Amino acid sequence: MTTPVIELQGVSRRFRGATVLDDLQLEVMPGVVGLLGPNGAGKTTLLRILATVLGTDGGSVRILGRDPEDAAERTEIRRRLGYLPQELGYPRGFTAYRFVDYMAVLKEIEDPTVRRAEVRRVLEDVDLADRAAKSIRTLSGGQRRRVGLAQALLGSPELLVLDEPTTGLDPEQRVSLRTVLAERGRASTVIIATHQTEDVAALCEHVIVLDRGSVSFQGTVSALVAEAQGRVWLADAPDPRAQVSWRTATGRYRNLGVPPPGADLVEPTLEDAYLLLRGAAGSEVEREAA
Amino acid sequence: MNTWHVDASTLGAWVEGTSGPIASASIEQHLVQCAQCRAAVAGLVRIEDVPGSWDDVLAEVSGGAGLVERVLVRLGLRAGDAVVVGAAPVLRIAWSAGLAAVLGFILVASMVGDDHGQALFLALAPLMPVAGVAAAYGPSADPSYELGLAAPYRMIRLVLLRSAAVLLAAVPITVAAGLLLPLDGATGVAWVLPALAFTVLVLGAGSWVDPWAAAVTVGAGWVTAVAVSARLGDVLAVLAPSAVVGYVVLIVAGALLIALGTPAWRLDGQWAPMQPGRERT
Amino acid sequence: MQPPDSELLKAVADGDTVALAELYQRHAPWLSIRLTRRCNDDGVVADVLQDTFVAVWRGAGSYRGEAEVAGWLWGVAVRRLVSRLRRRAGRAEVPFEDVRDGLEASVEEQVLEGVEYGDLGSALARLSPEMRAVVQATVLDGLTAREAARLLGIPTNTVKTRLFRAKAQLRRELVEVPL
Repeated sequence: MTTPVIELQGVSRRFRGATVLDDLQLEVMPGVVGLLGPNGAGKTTLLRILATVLGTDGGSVRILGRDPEDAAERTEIRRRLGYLPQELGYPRGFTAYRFVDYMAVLKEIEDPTVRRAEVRRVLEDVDLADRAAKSIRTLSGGQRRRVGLAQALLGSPELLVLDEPTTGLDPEQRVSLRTVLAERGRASTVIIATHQTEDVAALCEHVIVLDRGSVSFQGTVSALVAEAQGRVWLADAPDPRAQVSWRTATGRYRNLGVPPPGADLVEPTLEDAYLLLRGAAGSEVEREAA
Repeated sequence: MNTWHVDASTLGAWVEGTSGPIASASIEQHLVQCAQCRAAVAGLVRIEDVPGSWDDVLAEVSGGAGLVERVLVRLGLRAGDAVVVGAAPVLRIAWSAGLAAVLGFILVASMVGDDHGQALFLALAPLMPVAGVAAAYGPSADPSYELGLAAPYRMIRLVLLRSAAVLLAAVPITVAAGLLLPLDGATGVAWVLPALAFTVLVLGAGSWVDPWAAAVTVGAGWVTAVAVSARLGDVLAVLAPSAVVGYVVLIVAGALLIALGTPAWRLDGQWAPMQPGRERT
Repeated sequence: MQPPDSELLKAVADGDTVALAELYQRHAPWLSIRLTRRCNDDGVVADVLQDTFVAVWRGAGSYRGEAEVAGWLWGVAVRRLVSRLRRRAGRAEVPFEDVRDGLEASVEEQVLEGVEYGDLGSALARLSPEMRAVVQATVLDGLTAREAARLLGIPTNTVKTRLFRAKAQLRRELVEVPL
């Protein structure tokens, strides 16, 4: 039985009077974990706590077996951590290479030869090696995101905390990114916050669903999908009794909820399960465009 | 079209360094025009034997070690620290801004007349290092601030290194300006005391609040104090012995804040860079 | 067929580091030999080569490809060498006399000198080493008198005097020899 990489007990966090995280309880095991939830659920706040850049207002946190409240242990966590924030700015006039080199110094890769090789390696991993000399200003949104991802990969960290890593990436880039992340997931722990269920479905064995500051599901992807079993059906028209309906590529309508008798049931996807879960929580469910 | 090429053994002798001066001159003039013979030379020389390396060139053109970093390393800074200092967004403008400010002072002082010129200098000079330090780090100055927090590199080291670099750039210029302007008594140098007090204070406060906020507060307070004393007739009151005690107290307080604040480098606090729309994500 | 240097230079102006790498492969070897013959300090040559290719990266856009790229590269390199040597206390360059002083030039070299320079070549050979060095620096390497003075570590006036005398001697020899 492996020990959890991350353990949160009764964690709460307020911001400007509003409760952002409420009595959070969760465990993360090695591998790739998806963190799903709508905007406002507290995903970014949670990731910031895991990245040791934010403290808690209550509860206990253990990351890689250490307590981030203790200064020395926090530094030890940071030595084994790679972080990609949701919003990342770059210093003016920096090239991709220079920024990653700068981050490599901040990650204590002091020796210039080692650092140069490491910077080259991560830039190749995200397929930016031939654009390394370009100013970040001239790169597209997806390429900038990849620069951010490259610096997170420096030093092959034990824990990768990624907030919306696939934003702005086109489908091919997303696939190649998944390959890199799947690779890292074999040797370390990767936690990805996203609202793209396809990313979670493709990459993650485990998933945590966050809703208004609490965990509404924690377990394997297959377990979550199983909960939607028998609650997804296709029809030629949107069913008014369904919780959510939308038109699929084939022209028929996909419906989620309690199926009428004789309905054309289909195998649920993670997206179906996620939407049903949100609907069950009483939230207004709207299917976000992929 | 040149169809003559250097024969292999002569070329080999040139590569070895054993060919005569005239032959060498001839070969060298020829090489500038003949790609084939250049390729022949490349064939005779192993690229590892060429002094320097392609890797160094690639690193430099990619934006690795720039001029500022190389100068800093030559001055004795570790390579990594030089990169950290060089990444300070303000460093490049510190010099030019300082220079512009000096020229501005001199211009204004000569136009506006003695007393007002003095008040102006006294109001602004101590704020130069403060502004420089505030612009060296922190969420307002550094777009990658959040990432820097998550890294093991000690923030206090980064802050002190960059602040030192900025001060080294900004302070001598301002001191020179102070000595050049026609100022009363020791004003040209005495401004350093409040400058030191405010700089230390902003550095200390910077581990809890956004350094820009601290700098603006301190700056507003100081300018008000100078304006009030000028209005009351004695601009130099802000440098009086009683005020000096105050500055020393501020220096001690600031140093304490620095010592106490160092563990707290996090996004906590009201100034955390979250916009209203995003704060709950 | 490999792309010509001018095309690589255009690519470099666009930010293509692979093109720059190719230029390095093609030109760093001969440049390093030519530089080493003027200053046998590997450290200096390494720095000069680095600065040269970084200058290529930065200046590729503004290069009007009239002359050979190779000529431009040498011009950049030799000027960097001059400014670097100026900063150094001592000099560590190899004098222009050939290393095998006193040995007979090989048959090939004699033919070479004859073909490339003909009578000029032998006339040059009859110049004293000091005069030849000055001729090489100014006429062949393209330096100004002041730059040549820095390179050779002698006063500018001495450069001018030696150049004047060298030209006078060459004129005398070439005019007198029947064609």
